[in-house]
Amino acid sequence: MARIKKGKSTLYIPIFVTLAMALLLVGRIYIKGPFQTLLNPDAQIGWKTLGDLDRDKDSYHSSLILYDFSADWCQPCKRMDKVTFQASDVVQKVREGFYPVKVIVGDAHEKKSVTDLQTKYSLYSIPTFVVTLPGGEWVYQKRGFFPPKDFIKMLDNAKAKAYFVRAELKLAKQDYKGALAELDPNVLSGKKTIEDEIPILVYFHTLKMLGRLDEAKAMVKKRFDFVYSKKKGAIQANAKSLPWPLPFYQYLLGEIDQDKLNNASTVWYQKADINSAIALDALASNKKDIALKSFHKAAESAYYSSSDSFRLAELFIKELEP
Amino acid sequence: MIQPTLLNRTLIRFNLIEKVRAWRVGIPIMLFMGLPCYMMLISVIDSTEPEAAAKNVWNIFNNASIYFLLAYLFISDGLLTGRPTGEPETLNLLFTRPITRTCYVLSKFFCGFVGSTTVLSISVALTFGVATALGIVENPIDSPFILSIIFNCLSFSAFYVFLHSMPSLLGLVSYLFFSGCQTVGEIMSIGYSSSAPTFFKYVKDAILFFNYWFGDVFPSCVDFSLIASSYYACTELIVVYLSNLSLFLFLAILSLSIREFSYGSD
Amino acid sequence: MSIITVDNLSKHFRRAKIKAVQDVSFCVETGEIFGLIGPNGAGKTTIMACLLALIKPSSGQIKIDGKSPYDFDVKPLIGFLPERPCYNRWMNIHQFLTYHHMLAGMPAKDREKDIKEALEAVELEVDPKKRRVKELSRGMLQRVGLAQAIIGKPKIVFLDEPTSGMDPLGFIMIRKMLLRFKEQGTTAIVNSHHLLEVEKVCDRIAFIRGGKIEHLGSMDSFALQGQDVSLSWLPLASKNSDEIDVLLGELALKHDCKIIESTQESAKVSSPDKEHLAQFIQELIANNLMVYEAKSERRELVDLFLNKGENQ
Repeated sequence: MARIKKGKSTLYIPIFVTLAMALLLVGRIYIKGPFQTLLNPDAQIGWKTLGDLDRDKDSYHSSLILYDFSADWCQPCKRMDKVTFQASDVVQKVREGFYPVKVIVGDAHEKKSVTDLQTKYSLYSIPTFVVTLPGGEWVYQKRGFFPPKDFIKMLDNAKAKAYFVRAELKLAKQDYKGALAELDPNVLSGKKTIEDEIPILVYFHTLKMLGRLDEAKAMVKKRFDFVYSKKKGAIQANAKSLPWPLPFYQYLLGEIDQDKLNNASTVWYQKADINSAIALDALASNKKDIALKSFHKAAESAYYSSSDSFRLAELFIKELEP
Repeated sequence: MIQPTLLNRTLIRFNLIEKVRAWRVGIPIMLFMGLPCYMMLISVIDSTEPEAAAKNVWNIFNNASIYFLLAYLFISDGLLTGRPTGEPETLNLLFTRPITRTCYVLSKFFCGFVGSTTVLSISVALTFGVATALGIVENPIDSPFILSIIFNCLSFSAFYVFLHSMPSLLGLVSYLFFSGCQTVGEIMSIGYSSSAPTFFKYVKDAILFFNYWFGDVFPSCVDFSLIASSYYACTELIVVYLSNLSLFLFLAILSLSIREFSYGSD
Repeated sequence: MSIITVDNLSKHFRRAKIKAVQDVSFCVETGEIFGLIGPNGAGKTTIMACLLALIKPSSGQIKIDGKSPYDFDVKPLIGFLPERPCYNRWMNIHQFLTYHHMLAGMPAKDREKDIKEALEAVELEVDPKKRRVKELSRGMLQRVGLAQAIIGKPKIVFLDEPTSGMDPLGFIMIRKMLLRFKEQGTTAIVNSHHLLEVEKVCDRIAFIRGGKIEHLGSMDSFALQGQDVSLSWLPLASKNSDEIDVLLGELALKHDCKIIESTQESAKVSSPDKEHLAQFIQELIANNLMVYEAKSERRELVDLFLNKGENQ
């Protein structure tokens, strides 16, 4: 063990501890104080403001809009600026396909538009990242701090989902061929499976309207079997009714009727799925007023404007409303 | 003639070996070693997405409370005595023995660090074994992961030694102060109002000041895999980290040197 | 040679606004048993804590073996029995003694032997590996504490209230231990208000009150300070009790004595020295009191100090 040659006092504090403490303290104050002003954390990504967004309307029609809801008093936001938005791969990714807009929450100059955005995208905390189509259609949203790796993954997810939202847009305009072109060919060929109800509904409806009902049913059946095998335990325990989302699949497969589907769940967001399915069915048989009514119901049940079912309902309502 | 040293053999032996032999500390340590691999087992077996479940379990090692608890187990006598602060009065007797205050602090720090790293490395090894046996290929055991564990053990041990060396009340107050400074930024980002009255703006500015300058004193988990891509973040994090480490040790020694151990009611 | 010297030691507690120790000076010779006595709150423990470097003196100087009490080299010379049992309660006795044996820097090969000897010296007859410190009674704790104090084979032993919580057997054990210290040439500083063992064994005593040394000296120097006598005489027909009281009062005033209590046939008298007492008795006899017994009563140290306090 190391021996202290100098200082026989029991209160002796070794000089290296004192020195290291003092030096590092000075370094810390420098790096958090004067050094900060030398940096411009926004320079890398090139964040735009809401004003820029209005002005540049024509230039970003092909890219997605990435909103960063942030504030000067929000620590995780600052960490995002210091860590994630400094990473070169993140910067590259954002520049490739996004129009980055930084929204300062509580900003006095743009108070009204900020509040509007908050309501539009159901914002409850910051930092929140919202990705939308240029037309403002909600695509994707995440909350909290993200390290570079996760942020890139998030951007990739948003990009993949943007195609799907574009397909929905075309579907609402009854451009079925165009919708099919936007959808993922891997899913259509059965190489990849999708999990959520709304995407399954969109794929199903598109194929159905193009007269490829068998293909659509095969896709849903595959998903049904997979979920059924996973939930075997729950199914055996309760023989009376199948657990969600199996009734939803059954409805798409034509095994149960609307009433039964309506009784299958009382959970609000599942109600939104049910109403969307019923509405699309009504639309297929050209009963527009029933479809509109169901879409209204779906939007009401979805409640949060930042959800797939709400967006789907909203898009269709926009087209169907006289 | 006995000479002053930087580490004390007795303290190391009693904090790392004798203490662990007592079931009150031994059982929690066994739990720390065994629980992650047990969680890996049940969450992977029961999951539709084993890879994602495994990733979730690996995130345990990025949890600050684990490091804090382990440092507490190895540094304080709290669990053995049933009093959360342990037995600060035993210091009276201890400091009549040939041991310097520096040696006491560094020995406790060493015990906390070695103890928690040992426990966590066994835990990681067991979890890795279980994950591999269950067919999980993507395990995040790389050098940033291991470095993060070691760095976290160091910073949390230093922080706990600092709290341990303070008089109980001051220790508690500084714990609350620093953790408050750290948490307040995150709290403010959850519930915000864009139309606060002016008075609250001043309060907010004060809170922001404390949050900015003292928010990173309370140790948080270092994750090297996150920051490797940003030069600025890396530099700041390392400087702040080392500054915390030396500050805690220095303050712990200083506090013990200044403190008076008046043991009697005289 | 003095092993401990204390010069003008003062300690003020700022927060409590007490001057716990004021200007205390004394020295302790090598091999001496030195008693610090005084009522509660006199500052004995504060002096001891200063000697042990547990608290910092406000002013004054302390030298132990020629060095500061904060010096690392002083620590191996010291053994300490604290007043309150602040021991690591989770350890068993064997672990506890091992802990302090190791801390004192004693060689590992002697450990078992030393522990056994220490336990024998304090007459603790339990299995040290089976009993934990927190399960011990107050008296047993005190014995464990004593064993801990002597386990490092110290040259100076500080005993703070060694008899508290002890049974009479424990008193005898402590007296034996102090005598053994004397044989071995170990210096001992005993802080006590139980005076039985102090009176018999201490070479010198410092009496402390209100943070000051009121008296410092050998046991005899304390005893010389005053004389108490119980007087008895045959019943007297010629004088009633009131007249006797008046007579005793007059004579006491004349010879600087003090009547502590009196009856018709006896009285307890306290006098500043032997001459005054002898003259007092002589005059009593001259006044026809037939004194048949005069019994000297040695004062307890505490009584003496209590009286002193009253005089002030």
